[in-house]
Amino acid sequence: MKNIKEGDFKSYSAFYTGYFRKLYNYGKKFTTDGGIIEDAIQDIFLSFWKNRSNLPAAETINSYLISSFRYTLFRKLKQSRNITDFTGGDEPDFSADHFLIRREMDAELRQRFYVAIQALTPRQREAIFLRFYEGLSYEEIAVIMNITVKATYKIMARSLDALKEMLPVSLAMLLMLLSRPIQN
Amino acid sequence: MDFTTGYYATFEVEDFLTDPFFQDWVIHPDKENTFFWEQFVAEYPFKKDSIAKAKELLESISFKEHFPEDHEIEAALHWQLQAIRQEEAPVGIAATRSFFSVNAWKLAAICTGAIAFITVLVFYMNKPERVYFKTAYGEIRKIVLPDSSVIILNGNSSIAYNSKWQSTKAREIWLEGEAYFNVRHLNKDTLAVQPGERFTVHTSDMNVEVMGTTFNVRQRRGKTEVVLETGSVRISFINAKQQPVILKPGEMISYRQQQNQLAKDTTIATEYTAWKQRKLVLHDPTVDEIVQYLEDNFGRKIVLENESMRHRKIEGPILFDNLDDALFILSTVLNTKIIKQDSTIILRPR
Repeated sequence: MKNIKEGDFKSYSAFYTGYFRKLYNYGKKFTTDGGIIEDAIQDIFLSFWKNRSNLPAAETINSYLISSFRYTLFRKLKQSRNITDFTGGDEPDFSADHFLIRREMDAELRQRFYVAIQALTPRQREAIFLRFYEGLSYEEIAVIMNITVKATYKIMARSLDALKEMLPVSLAMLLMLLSRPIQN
Repeated sequence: MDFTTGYYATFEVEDFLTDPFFQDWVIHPDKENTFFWEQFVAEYPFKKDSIAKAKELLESISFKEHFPEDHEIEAALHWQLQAIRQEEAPVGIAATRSFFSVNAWKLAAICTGAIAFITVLVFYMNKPERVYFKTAYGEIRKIVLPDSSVIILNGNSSIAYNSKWQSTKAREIWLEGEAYFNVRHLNKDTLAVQPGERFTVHTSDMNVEVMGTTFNVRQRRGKTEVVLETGSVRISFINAKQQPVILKPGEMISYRQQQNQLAKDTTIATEYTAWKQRKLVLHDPTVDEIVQYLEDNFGRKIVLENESMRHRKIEGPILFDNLDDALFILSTVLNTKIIKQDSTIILRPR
């Protein structure tokens, strides 16, 4: 980060490349239009570079970049929606299709899991993504989604409860599958 | 650590699920939190099941990943660095300009002829030059255009364009052979497309007009195929009788100018662009199609001693990495020997 502040292109390129992958992957959860995602990344990084001497503390840069990206992308998506007259809500939809089930499950379990995910709101899905895929803390998620930390706790608790409620069989199954010691 | 193990003594599955400290252990296990939860299970063995269930559920949450391709990242970085240079350039350019004008006036005082000379020089410097790339047989080459669009040129193909790209003029490429395009999207307002936002690929028989798109053009043996991966393109034809066509992602056209024959179809676009990874995917191809493709891209004449083999279909998707692999597969399927003579390859029945 020190090198970037001093205007070192090489460190900046590596930094940019890493974030490009990460933000692109995140952006794809809201739109299939890679062009708009790229535009948003270019915009925020250009202003990141311009303000490089005046950046927030190193430990908050990650959530700072993700939240500016999210804000910029949503604004751009809204604009393009006005032009092409898309239907849809106020915020872009974090589709349930992006969820995967990592573990082997039988077809019925799988079905239940997907039903449970469908029942979540886009914001609940996004919060789960930021927490369990990006591994962010509740405080960071609050900044990114522009809500209070308390609201983040609420969203997360509700979504996980919803998942659990819809999985009575699954939990029984999981119990049966439980042969591994938990330490691994 | 904020809590003692006792804090969790009465927790059930749902409580563990929503507990941030427990989640942290699932997401980022480290020495400290692993020690804590092992300790907890040792102290409260009857909680072992609840913990395991909660952990299993959280671990099973996973997401599809959509990472950009390397060449897309590279193009984006290229654009970013260029944008930064442009941002920072104005000061530098202003300085150079004033330097030139001062010198020009000094020169003018001495000799007006020098001015004329400089004018001519500047004219020549600004005159667009034709940039030309050609690939040899079997060579695949990546070209980054002045606007950071990327072209991947397949073997035995060429592109040309004018070197000076201005934001007020359409971007134009002339293509012979086959190329994959990843075009930088410049359009801000879809209702008012500026000239500089246009990107056109010309072949001898058609023009493919683009707005921020990835697509493949293959022009070989009097047939031109355009396959669209993302975005949208509009294709107009040199033959004015042929109506323009607009493609959507996953669609393709194939056109024969001689017969003015046009066919539109849907396809799996990535299979047409697999050559970028030096792979060729063909679905139920005839032997003839494979042979033609190999000849076009590797520049060897391939002779089938038994001509009737040409029409045989080879079942299933076929994936080629290189010429030798391809020949090996062909010779196995057709039960022939491979005889190499200079630039000719003969497939002789065993």
